Amino acid sequence: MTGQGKNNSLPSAVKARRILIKTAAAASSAIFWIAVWAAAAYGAGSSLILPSPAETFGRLLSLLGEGDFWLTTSKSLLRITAGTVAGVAAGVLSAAISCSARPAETLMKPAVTVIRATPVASFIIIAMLWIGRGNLPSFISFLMVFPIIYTNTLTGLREVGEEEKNIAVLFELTPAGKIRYIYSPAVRPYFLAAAKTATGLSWKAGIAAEVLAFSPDSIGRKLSESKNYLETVDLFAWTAVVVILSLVFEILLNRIGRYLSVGGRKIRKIENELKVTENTEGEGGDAS
Amino acid sequence: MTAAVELCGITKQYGGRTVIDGLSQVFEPGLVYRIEGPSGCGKSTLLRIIAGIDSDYSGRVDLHGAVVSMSPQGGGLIPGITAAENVMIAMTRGRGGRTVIRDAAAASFALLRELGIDGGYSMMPSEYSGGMRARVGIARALAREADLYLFDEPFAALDSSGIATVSSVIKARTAGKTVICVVHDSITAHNGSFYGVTLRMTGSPVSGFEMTQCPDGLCPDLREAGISASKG
Repeated sequence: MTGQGKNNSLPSAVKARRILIKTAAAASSAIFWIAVWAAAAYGAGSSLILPSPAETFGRLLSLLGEGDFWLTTSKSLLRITAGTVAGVAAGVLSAAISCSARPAETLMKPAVTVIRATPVASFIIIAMLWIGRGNLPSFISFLMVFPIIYTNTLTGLREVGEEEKNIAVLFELTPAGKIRYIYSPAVRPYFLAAAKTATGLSWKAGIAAEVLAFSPDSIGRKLSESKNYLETVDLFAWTAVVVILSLVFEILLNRIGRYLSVGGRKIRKIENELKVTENTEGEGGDAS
Repeated sequence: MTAAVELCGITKQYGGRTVIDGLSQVFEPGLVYRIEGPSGCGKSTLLRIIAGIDSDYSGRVDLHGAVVSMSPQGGGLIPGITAAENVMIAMTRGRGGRTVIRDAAAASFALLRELGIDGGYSMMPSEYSGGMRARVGIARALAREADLYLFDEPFAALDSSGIATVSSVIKARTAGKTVICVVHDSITAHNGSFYGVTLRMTGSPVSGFEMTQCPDGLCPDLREAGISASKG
């Protein structure tokens, strides 16, 4: 009896071709939408109303040369990342506690429901009174991320059936072993889907908080200033920065996702190494 | 391990219905037992009780310190990890660095190959057929250094050649150890080659065993005693 994985045995040429086709499709799609944007800008006839892609990316390039750009971007990045990471950590931890103790879930439920249902703007205004302008984006990002990660991680944890728990008992898995082989695989798809949604939201809400709070050295403040001075090209350029950073976050998450599902790759690697060793020994044996 | 496995007055209920009623039995060390009985009579439940994964029963199970390994019905694989990892957890308990994992992986490949799975060790259980999943479950049970091996319907999803292969691997890998193997009535005809003492669950609810087969010289004491039902 033999078996092969879905993509395990694909020749590298086929893999390369697939990657090429995928990249070409993504590029074509991006080009199409940029063309739509360019046509709309041409139709608008004024960069004050709708700047063209060329104007926007030109301004973006000029921003890259300014020292202020890097300070602003890194501070926003730091604030939002801190809030996101804290939200992920708190969400996973709370889900683990809720999964192991039903009263904890009962306690968490109203809080999570309220956080999810409350408009972001309300939180921004209320929190501005409590924690000031500087830390507000981190707090808002945290609030966006926490309930999504919590709910999805809890759903994933609940997917672990009695049979799997019994296997863990039967083979006396260590706590780390249980996390690695039983709980992580069950939570992984839910967590990754939630993380993608949550990081997208944390960027949107975090920047919105910066705009409303007029946070010092922030992308939100730059957006706000651009609006005030009717610098639409700047507005678009800074928006592009947010979009790019958000995309970078998503790519990083995909990488983390691949790292988390590394089991199959590890086994394949060992399998291939052992095959090579066996072949080498076989050839050595034949030669002697 | 030289001590026997003793069951004393095991009673198990499901939703108010008694499935096993005061079952007592001694499984002598180093022997192979095949437990037969109709579907739903409590065979799997009994194995789960012996394995310690079902603690909702009355009575006493005395393993005398025996290390237990088990292959649940259908393999009982963890769905989110590869076939090889499913086997490896029985060896590493989820611990170990690079070398330990590599050695455990190599051992799991060898075991799976013995059981008739040649390659595809990085596949997920959902990508395997029922027969392959059962073999991986058996490999995992055999991967553990145990004194008592429990197999729940190991042949149910296998054809006759698969039964012969798996049966011979179990025999070789568990030599000198106590083995309790649950087999459904319908499969009995196909695994006549499976060696050992055959016990049939008797009573409704089950309250004892009747010995239906005992190979010559394997268990003279049991043959004389007739392995009668011993309620309470």
